[in-house]
Amino acid sequence: MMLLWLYVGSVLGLLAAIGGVVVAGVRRRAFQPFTTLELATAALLICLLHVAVVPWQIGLAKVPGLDALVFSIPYTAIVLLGLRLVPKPGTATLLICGQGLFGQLLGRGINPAWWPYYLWCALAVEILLLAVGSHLRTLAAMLAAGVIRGLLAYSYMYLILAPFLWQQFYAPWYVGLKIVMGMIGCGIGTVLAWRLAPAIEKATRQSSL
Amino acid sequence: MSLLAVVLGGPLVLGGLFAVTLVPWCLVRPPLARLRLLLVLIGTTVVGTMISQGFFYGFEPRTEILTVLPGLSLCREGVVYGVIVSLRLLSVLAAGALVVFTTHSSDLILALGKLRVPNSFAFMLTLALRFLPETIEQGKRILAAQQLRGAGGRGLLSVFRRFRLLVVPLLAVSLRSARQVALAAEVRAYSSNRVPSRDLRFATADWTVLAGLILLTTLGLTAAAFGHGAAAAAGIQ
Repeated sequence: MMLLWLYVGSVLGLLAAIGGVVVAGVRRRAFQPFTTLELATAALLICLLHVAVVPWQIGLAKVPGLDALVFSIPYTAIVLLGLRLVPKPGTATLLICGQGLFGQLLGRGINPAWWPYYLWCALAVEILLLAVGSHLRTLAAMLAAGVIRGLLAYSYMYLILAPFLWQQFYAPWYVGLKIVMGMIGCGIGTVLAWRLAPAIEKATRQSSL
Repeated sequence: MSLLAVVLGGPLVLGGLFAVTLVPWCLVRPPLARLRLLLVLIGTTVVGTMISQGFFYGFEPRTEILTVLPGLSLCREGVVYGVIVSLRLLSVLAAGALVVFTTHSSDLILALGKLRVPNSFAFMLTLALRFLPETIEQGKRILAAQQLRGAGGRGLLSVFRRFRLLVVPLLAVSLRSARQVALAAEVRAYSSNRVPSRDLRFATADWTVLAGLILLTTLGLTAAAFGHGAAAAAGIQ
């Protein structure tokens, strides 16, 4: 019963946080609608996220402890590259929630119980972007975005979602190890994105029909 | 099915739930390739969860059956609990995958609209579905070209080096494709306020499945209330 209340609490907290972000965004006039090109770019990045993540679901990601590390490197790299390519508030939500829903559409089936997880991960990055307002132009901002997403994703997964949905409990030290490994993976992914971003931005500028 | 997987517990009850989700799979007769993929997923999920729960089980008692390192041992209760968790995972996975397998992607996107997912989001998912085969094909082509130029190698570091080498050309090529698609959509006067050309309606088969699911859920909730719940099975208060 406690797990149910924890989950419900997380959903209520999420709604409050979304409200806060919307109010802050409107006050700062930060929100702009996405153009068709930006939506198409986000769609492409969702597709790349799916392609980058799926192979790990069978191989190394099944090795206990290593999974969080291995999984988060390509994921973080592509999300952060996406944030550099479409530097607008809401891009993190489009990419993270989009990839989650896309995975559900293609494999696991639509399950709204997972949506708070995607939204929390996206919201952490959105809040950071609203706070720093730099659109990830510095390595520090990128690292903060990557690692905060990792911290929230793995904490929420192993402390709230997995115990509630699957009754999956682990020893606390192992949960801590998973969270730390996930954050390290996110850090590596961030550095990868930082190094790749200039080349990709240059290729985007030069690409033409 | 997700609700039942959450509220039910015990290997027999969850095994029964998993067996129920397998019945429609037998009726739809999936192709061998998909069946093989499903079996691989089932196998890796069960083995992975048994190992991780076996080693990192957080409750007492723990009967150690194999010690790998001091302080790191496989325990019987954890392995059994891993099987229970796997059955719970697989019940949800098999039911969800069945919906995806028997429903066209465009219908699933229409269903998202019914769940109040914004139109622009649904448009983006439609585009992502369209990009998927093209992206995989482009990725394979770029990897093959790089291998021909000697960019191979084995091991984890090599995998990440290849990922780094792959991402830039793949994104550059795919972004061009995205630009073309966006232009084509705008030329056709795309706007996110569109109305779908058809509406999803319940057919007789859908009502039958819904009635079956309501019956199953009622049975499951009754069983959970009479001592077959997840908390009771796990011994959790």
